[in-house]
Amino acid sequence: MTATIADALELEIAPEVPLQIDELTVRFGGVHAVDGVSLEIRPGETVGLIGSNGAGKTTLMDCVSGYVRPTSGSITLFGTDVTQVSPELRPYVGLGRSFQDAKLYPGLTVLETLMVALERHAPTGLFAGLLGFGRQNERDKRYTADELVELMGLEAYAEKRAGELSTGTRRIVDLACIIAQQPKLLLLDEPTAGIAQRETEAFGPLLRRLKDMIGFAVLLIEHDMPLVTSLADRIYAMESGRVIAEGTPAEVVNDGRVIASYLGTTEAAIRRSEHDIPPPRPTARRRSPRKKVT
Amino acid sequence: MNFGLDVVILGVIQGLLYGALAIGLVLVYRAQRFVNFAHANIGVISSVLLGKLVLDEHWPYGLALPLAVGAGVAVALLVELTVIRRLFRSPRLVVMVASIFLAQFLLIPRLIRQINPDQQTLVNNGYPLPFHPSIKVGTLYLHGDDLLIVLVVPVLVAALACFLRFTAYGQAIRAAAENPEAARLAGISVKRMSTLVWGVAGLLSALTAILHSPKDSVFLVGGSGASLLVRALAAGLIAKMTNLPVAFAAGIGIGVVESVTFANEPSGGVVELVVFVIVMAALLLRSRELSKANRDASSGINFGAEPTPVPRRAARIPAIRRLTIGSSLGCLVLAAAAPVIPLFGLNTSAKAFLLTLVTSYALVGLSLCLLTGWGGQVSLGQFALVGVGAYAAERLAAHGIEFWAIALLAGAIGAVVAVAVGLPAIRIQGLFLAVTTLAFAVLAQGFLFQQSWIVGDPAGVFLPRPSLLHDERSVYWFGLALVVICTVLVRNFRQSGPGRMLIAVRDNDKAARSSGISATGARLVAFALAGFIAACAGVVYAYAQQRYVSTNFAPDNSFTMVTMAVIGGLGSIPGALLGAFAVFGIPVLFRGSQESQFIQFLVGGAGGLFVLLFMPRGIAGLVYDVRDAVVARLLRRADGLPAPPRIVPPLRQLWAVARGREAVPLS
Repeated sequence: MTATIADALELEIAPEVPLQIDELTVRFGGVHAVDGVSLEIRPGETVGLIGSNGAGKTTLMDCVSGYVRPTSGSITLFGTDVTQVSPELRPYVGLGRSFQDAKLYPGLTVLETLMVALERHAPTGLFAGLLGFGRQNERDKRYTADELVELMGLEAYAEKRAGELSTGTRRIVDLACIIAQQPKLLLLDEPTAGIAQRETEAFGPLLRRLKDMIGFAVLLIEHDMPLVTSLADRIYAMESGRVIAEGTPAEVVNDGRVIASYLGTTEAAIRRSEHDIPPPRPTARRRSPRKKVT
Repeated sequence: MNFGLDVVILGVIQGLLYGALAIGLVLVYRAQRFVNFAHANIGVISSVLLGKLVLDEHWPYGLALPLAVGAGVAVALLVELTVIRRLFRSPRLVVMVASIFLAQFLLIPRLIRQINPDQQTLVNNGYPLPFHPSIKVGTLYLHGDDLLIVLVVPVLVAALACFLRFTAYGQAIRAAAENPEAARLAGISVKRMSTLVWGVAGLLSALTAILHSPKDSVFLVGGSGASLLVRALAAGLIAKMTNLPVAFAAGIGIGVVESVTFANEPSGGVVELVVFVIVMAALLLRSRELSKANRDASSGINFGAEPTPVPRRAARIPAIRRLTIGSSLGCLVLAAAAPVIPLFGLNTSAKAFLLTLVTSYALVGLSLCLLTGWGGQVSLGQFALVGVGAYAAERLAAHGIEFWAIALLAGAIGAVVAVAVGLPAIRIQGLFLAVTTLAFAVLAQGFLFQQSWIVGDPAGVFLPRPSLLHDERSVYWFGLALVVICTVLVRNFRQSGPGRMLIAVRDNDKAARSSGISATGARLVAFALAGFIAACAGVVYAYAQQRYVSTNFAPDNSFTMVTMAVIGGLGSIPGALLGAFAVFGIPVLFRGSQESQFIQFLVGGAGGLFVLLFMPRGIAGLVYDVRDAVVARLLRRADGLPAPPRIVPPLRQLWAVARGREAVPLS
C-alpha cells in the first residue's frame, strides 16, 4: 500500500493531537493525587490548568513529563502512547518542559546551558568528545547558542554561571532553552512564580511571540488568573485530583463550582483593575503549523 | 554446613558490636541526613587511652574507663561544635566528605607514641579487661572479652532506647530528626539536639571501640575500621537508616551470618564477599525509601573549584594566549625535567621512584575530578580500582602484551569494574555511591585480591619491566606521559557535549532529563571514564612498585585520595594535579621516603578539613583568583583603561581567608 496524496493532505489538515490523556489515575498510598482525569490539547492550542494547591496539577504535569508513573490510564503524545516511556525519551516525541523554579544548571554558564539544550539536535558522541573530534558539531552548537544569546539580549550574561543570575534572568535563559529545543508541546509550570508583576504582564506577549515562532501547543499551570484567561484557549479546573470544569476562560471563571472551590467571589482575583476578561474566542481553531505565517 | 551453637554464639557476640555501631550511624543519619564515616574512629582515642592508663600507668580499670569514655565523648562534642555545626547549612555531600576527613584525622591518637600503650606490654598482657572468668558453653569457651560484650551492649542499647523514648531530651531528638522546621517552631533547638546526638554517638563509639579492642588489634595496630564500618553500614541500610531496633537486630544477624560463613569457608575472605552482597542487596531493596529521604540532599552539589570561565574576548588577546600556553608548557617542562634536576636529590633513583608514585596519584586525582567534581558522586573505592589496574597489568604482562597496550587494556578492565560497582548506586542519588564503593574497597582487599584465579599469587605478584622502562626514571616518564594524555582527554571531555551533560545531570537531573539527556547514561559514562583513568594509575603504580600485595590497595588509601582531591580543588583539572603535587609531591622533596604515616595523616585529614571549612575551592581556587586578576589587568590594558587594583598575593589571600575575612587588595 502506498500513501496517496489524499492521505498526505489528510495528515496536513489534521495533524496529530499533541496530548491526549485518558482516565489517568495516580495513587500515592491511599491518596488519589490524580483521579480519572481525561484531557486533550489540540494542535496549536494553549490550555490552562487551574486549581488550588494540592489539586493535582503538578502531579498531572509530572505524569506527562514521565517523572510520575500513573497507576492507571494512558498518556498519548502526538499519537504515540508514552505511558511507559522514560522522561528522557519524551523530548524526542516533541515534549518540552519549563520548571517552576527555573533553577537551570547552577554550575554551567548561560552559553553552556543553551548548548546542553541543543545537544539533542546535534549530539557529540563520547569518543568524539574525548578525542577532540566532532568539532563541527560543537562549533554548530556554539554558533546557534550565540545567536540565541543575541536574540534574547543575554550578551552580558553569556559567560556567567546560571547560579549567579537573578530569577528573572534565569527565566529568560529558560525561554531561550525552549527555543533551542523547538518542542511541539510545551509544559509550563507556574512560569511567573517569583518574578515581579510587571514582568508577569510582559510574559503573555512574550509567550505568544514564541508560539508564533515555533508553533507549539502549551499546557500552562498558573495562579495569575488574568494571565491564564488572556493566554488560554481553553481552561481545565481541577479539585482534589478531578477535573471539575472545562471550557473557554469565560465559561470556566463563571462556573459555580470553580468559583466555590478556587476563585472565591472576590473580583480582584479574577481581573486586574484595568483589564477585563477577554471575550470568549472561538474554541480551538484547527490550524496546521505549516499554514502559519511567521 | 556447620550451624553449631558455638558458631552462632560467637556470631551473636560479634554482631552485638556491629549493632551498637549501626545504632550510632543511624542516630546521626536520622538527625543530619548524612552517612558518618568517622563514627567508628571517634572511639579510637578511648581505646588507646584505656590501654595506656591500665597497662602502663597501672590505673584501676574502673577509674580509667570513665576517663577514656569521657575522652571519646569529648572528641565527639568537639567535632560537632567545630566541624559539623559550621557545615550546618552545607549540602549533605559536603558534610559526608568532612566525615571522611574526620575519619582519617581521628586516627592520629594511634600514631602518637606517648599516649599509646607499650606494644610489648600489650602483646604480653593483652588488652585490659575488668575481669578474667571463663565459661564453657558446649564446646566453646567464652572469655572475659566475650562476656563483657554480652553484658554491656544489651544494657547500653536498652538504656539508649529508654532515653530516646521516655525522656524529654530523647523526644526532642526524635522530633528534631523527624521534622527540623516544626521542631524549631515548637521551641526545640535543633543545633543543641545535634550536639546531644553527637555526644550519644561518641559514647557508643567509645564503648564499642573499648569492647572491640581485646578481640581485634584493629583499633591499635595498622588498618582502619573500614571493614567494621561496612558491616555496621549494612545493618543500617537494612533498617533504611531510620529504624534503630531493626538496625541493632540486623547487626546481630550480620554477625551470625559472618560467623557461620567463616566456620564453613574460612579461607580466601569469602566472608567479605558475603558482606558485600548484603550491602548491595540492602541498597537495592531499600533504594526507594533511601532516595526519598535523600532527594534534596544530593542534588546540585558543586564543590566550587570549577574555573570561572575566561571571557572569550580575553582568550583572543595575544598576551593572555602567550601566558596560558607558556605557563602550561613551563609546568610540563619542569615536570619532565624533575628526575634529572640535581636539587633535593631529585636525580637519585629513589626519588624518581617516589615521583612516579606522585604521577599515579595525579591520575587518581583526575579520575576524582571527573567523577566527584563534575559527576557529584563520591567514591571511597578509587584506590581499589588502582589495584584492579595493577593486578590486571601483571596478568596481561604474563601474556606478553606490550606495556602501552597494557595501559589501554587494564584501563578498559577498570572501566568495566567501575561501572559494575556504580550500577546499584545509580538508582539512589548522591550519597550512596560512597557506600557501595567503600564496600567494594573492602571486598577488593579482603576477597578479590586474595583469589588465585584472579590475581595469580595472593601472597604477592611481580611485574617485570619491559626494556623501555628499564630504570626508575623511564617509568616516571611513562607515568608523566599518561598524566598528560589523560589530562587532555579529561579536558576534551569537559569542553564537549558529554561533559556538559554530566554537569547538567549533577546540577538538576530533572531539567536535564526533560531536555532529553539520559541521567543514567551520563553517570555511567562518568563511572567508566573514572575507572579507566584509575586503572591506568594502577598500571603506573605497578611498574613503579613491581612487587605488590593486597594491602597496598587498602581502603585507607581511597580515603586519602578523596582528601587529596579536595585539597587540590574538586572539579578543576589543575586542581587535581596540584592536589597530588601538594599532598605527595612536596613531601618527596624534603624526605627520603614516605615512612612517616603521621605527616601523611596530618596533611590528609587535617589539611582536608581546613580546606573544606575555610577555602572550599582548594588550591585551585587561589590559582584561579590570581589568573582572573591577571586576565582582568591585561583586558583593561588592551582597552586602554587604567590599571586595576593590584593582585592579592596568594599567601596574603590564604591568611585573610584563614581569619575569615575577605582578602583586600594591596593599595
